[in-house]
Amino acid sequence: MSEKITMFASVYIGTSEISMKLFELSRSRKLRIIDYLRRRFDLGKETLRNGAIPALAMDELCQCLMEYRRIMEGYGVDNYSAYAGPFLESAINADFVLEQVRIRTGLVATILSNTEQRFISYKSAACRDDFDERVEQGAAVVDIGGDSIQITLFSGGEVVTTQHLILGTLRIRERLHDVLGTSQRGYRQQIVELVDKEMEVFKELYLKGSSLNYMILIGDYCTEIMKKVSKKKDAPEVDTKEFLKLANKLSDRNLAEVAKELMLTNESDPRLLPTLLLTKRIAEVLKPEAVWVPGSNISDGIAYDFAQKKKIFPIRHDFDRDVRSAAIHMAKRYESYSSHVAAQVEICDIIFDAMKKVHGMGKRERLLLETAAILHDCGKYISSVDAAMCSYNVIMYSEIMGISAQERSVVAASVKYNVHPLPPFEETEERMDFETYMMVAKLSAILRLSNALDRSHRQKIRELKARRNGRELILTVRTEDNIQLEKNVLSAKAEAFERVYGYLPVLKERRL
Amino acid sequence: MGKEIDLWDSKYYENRELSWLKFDQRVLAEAKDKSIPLLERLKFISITSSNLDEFFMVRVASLRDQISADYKGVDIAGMTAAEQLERISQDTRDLVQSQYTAYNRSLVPLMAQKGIRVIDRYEDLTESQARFADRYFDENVYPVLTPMAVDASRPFPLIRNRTLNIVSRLKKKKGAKLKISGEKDAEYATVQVPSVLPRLVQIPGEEEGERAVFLLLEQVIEGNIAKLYLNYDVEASHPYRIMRNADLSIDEDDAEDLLKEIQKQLKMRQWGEVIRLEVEDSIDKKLLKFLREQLDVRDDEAVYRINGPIDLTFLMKLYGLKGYDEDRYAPYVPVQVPEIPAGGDIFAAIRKGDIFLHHPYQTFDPVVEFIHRSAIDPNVLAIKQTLYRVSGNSPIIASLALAAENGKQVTVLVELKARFDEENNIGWAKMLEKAGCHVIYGLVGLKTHSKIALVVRREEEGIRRYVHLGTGNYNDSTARLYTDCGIFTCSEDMGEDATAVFNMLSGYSEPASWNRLAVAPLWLRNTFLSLIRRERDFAANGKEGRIVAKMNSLCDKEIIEALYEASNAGVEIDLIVRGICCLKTGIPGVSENIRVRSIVGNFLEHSRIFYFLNNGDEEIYMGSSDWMPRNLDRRVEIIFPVLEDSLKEKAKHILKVELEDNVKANVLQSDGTYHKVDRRGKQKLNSQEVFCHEAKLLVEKAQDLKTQRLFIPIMAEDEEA
Repeated sequence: MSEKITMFASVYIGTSEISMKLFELSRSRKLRIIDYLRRRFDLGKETLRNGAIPALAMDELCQCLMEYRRIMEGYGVDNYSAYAGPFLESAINADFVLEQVRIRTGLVATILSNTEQRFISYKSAACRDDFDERVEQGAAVVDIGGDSIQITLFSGGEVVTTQHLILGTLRIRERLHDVLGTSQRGYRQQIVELVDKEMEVFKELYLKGSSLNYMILIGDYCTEIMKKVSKKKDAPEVDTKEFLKLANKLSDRNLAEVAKELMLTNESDPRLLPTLLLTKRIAEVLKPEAVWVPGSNISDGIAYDFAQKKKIFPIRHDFDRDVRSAAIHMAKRYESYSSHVAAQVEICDIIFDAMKKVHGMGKRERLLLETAAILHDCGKYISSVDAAMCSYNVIMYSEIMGISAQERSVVAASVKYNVHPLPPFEETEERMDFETYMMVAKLSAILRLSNALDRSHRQKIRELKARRNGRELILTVRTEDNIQLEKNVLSAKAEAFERVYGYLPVLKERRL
Repeated sequence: MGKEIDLWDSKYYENRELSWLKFDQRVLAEAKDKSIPLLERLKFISITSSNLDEFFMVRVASLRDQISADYKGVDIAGMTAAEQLERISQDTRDLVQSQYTAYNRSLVPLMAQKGIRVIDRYEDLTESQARFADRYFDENVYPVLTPMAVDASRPFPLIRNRTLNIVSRLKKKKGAKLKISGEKDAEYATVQVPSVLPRLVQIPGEEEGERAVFLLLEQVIEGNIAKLYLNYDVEASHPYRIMRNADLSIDEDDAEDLLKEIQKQLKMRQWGEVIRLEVEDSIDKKLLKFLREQLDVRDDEAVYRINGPIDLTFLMKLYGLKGYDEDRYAPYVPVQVPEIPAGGDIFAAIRKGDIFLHHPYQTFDPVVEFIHRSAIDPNVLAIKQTLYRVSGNSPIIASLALAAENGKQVTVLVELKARFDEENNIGWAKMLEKAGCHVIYGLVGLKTHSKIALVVRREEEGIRRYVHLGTGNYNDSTARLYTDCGIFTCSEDMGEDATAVFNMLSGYSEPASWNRLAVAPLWLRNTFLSLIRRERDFAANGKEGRIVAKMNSLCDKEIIEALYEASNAGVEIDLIVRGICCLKTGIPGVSENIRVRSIVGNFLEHSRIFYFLNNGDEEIYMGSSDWMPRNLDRRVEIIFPVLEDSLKEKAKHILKVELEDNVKANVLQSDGTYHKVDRRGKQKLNSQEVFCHEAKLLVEKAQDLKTQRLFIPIMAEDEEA
């Protein structure tokens, strides 16, 4: 009768606080928050000032985590995940600090890259059941952080783009600190200008003509602001007009007054005013019909991430679809999306599946392969001279919602070595570990092969079948066209494939 | 029309100390009430005395500090510290005089009728009684006395705070040889009346009908004083008592460890400035002069000449006198809470719905049981609790220690700064630490006054949190004397808030906002102000506005001003304020719609309940906070809403009955005096008695139901099923 309940702790070492959120994860109730501990600790400032974590701060960090560990034991926690924010990367002794954390507290913590951190925080919203119906109607997910803002645009449920604006709450405060001291009005005006400047390109490129139904807000204080206009405590949603009415009213006040009006416990959090002014301006620019605040943060995202991996409860949202659609929209942006690309994806999947036992890779790698296939031609937009290298660079500098920085480099390298010959591990230019190298080798080999099969970019091949036979990979196609070009190219590329997999691709045709 | 009235004007506010003295007068009035049994009346006299002691040590002391610091500020009523002290001195003298008049003229004769006699002059003893007293002195008292002579080489000793002492003027006997050669004649000596011995020494009665005869300990000593100073003639001896400045002010920034700092302060309290010197009316002039010099009592206002025995707190001892049951109220035995049958599963009971507790009418046992069960229940993971004033031998402390030993996470916030209880608290705190509890010694700069207990339990459906919130301390012995309210709940919202409260007390960040609770110091004041103003706005818009609030003290200017505003807008306001009330009633254009009553009864009124009509959607809050600046700004307080309808009704009923009380209620008049309710044509209604009666009825009703249920016949099984 009683279902299994997993006690889970998500520990997060942020720039200004160390937090631990305790959850009960179960099929029926999904995420249930049990406790939420936050200790103020300006580790970010320390790191910035010293370039390293001082010994004293290391001690304090360990002490706090030890305390968290004790609390975990008290609650009988079954599992935990511990992460540090991307800021920690800039401390030269970050790895040693985490090693000390492991030795002294027994907790294993890893540093999130900016992309991973954003993705986890996105997950906190996207894992909610009521997320999909909203993005289906067109939405912008706006994640407001201390350092930057990330906006992910959805159209018909598909990710159109993800953009980073260097406009975080703390950053704004740093930049405009002097202005705030002299004039509240000047401060507000400057924020408007900053947002407008940053959003100009974004608006021009992505917002043309499309209308948004929702602005989905993620970030501290968003819930508290919304509470004022919405009766619903959990995940409040209000009309943008209502939201702006309140935001306009509050934006004339000073920090203490706003905190009082919103009944906040902390009356002097420097992030509050920038959050208010930023959300207000972004809402004015994006013009959504309604504003929705799922009310979750990175800690919830960490728990969802864990629950998803352990399949504790089903999550409706298809994150792979996010990756694919983000990649497709990116390819479209660089005018490289075509029927050829679509065919590539299909062919890659067929070969990948046929080689499953041989390459030992899984669902995730398959998704990366698809992504590489979608993006393999995007560099042509820049230059047809060494387009592969251009593609590599375009991918490396783009945010693709749903894949990590490390995965992005796999995609980019696979695209590069689709054309460039793959050098031995020791001679690769990219900083990658051996495992990554191996993955790139395997994926780029498949990509090469599939490219050969549509060499003419005319999708001559239909109903491709792939099966292994002896030391050969038999590729059977049904086609009406002459595929001599493909056959020629294939035999040139087959060797590279055989070198990686030990199977020689052989093309057989069956005339229609 | 009322535009020129400035509600902030200090003339609309009463000084808090003078208002407090009126409260002590109301307590004294109980001692004068002929309808009350003798021993109860003696108890009230004693309470008046101990109240006054505390008042001096804290309030008067702080005013003196203001003067010595040359602080020129004025209070809520626009009075300077010096002006206040002057008025306090007048009113205190009136109070003390009234107290001794009541004792000497009404109570002593009445005691005599009942065969109780307290002899306060050794000279009044018969010969055989004197022999008894002398033997008692030789055997019991003499060994523990430490007489101190005062001369050039021996300075006046430290006289300890609130102790009774006897000062003597001596003259060297002719021809007596002094032990130490060259020593100058000692002229004065003092000896402390030992506090280890009972103040009342029972001696045999001589006259007929004398059932209980006592001699005051200081008289035993005075009568035998010559035995202390053998080489001298004792020319005169008189008892005296001093009160020192005792307000603790701890410099927390420097206090590395709060515990050590408080221990240090406790020692220092013995050395505070003398702010009151009590002597017998008949004291020898020279002796008084000597005492004032030695104790540095320059101010006449600090000297109190007493017409009777000094320090009447000893009368409390008479209250328990055996064989006098008819002169005492029958002890009230708190009844069971029907929702929580003794020995039943308290967690299951709470799961059925929120439970309202009304002490002392209902027993405090469920609260004690709640912690005890939690300590031994294998499913309980953690217990967190605040402790402010704890009883000696507290079963709650024992349970918490047991819980820690059973491997549960126990977090206890022990408030060391609870006035006069510090010594007691330090002991418990150390004991709990040893048992493995996580003990927090309060917050820097804030006193933790909130009363909250949280139990985290792992159940089939996951973690469930049980919360007890109360208006009174977790003290099982005062819970028999103080009227307090509490609720048990396992609502998720309250559980989350309670968890957050303890996280906050443990030094973690607060939640960005609270679900249900209002927590001081951060925004309790705003919550109350906005609740009051909401009523004002309803009234201003032609709707009905109503506030009923019950508390111990009301002296926050901002709140009072808001109440005045609400009154002017037409809100009907009834306040039940036991003690200090700085609000003035019945001033045209200020407070015409405000009525204030104070209930001083057999139990100490202690609960805080706040009712707001809210245009028909009634809201009721309870909690630990009075409307005093110290509660709203300098303490961690919790105000919680009463949410379930049936509980709301219970809280409303308490307010309703107390507003109908016409026996123990005193109504504040526009001239600042308090008068008993005029009950012509009305039936007597004593709210505390009503509550006692109702609590019993509730239990009977519950038992009836139970008995009825036993007779439900077993039917044949339904065929369709």
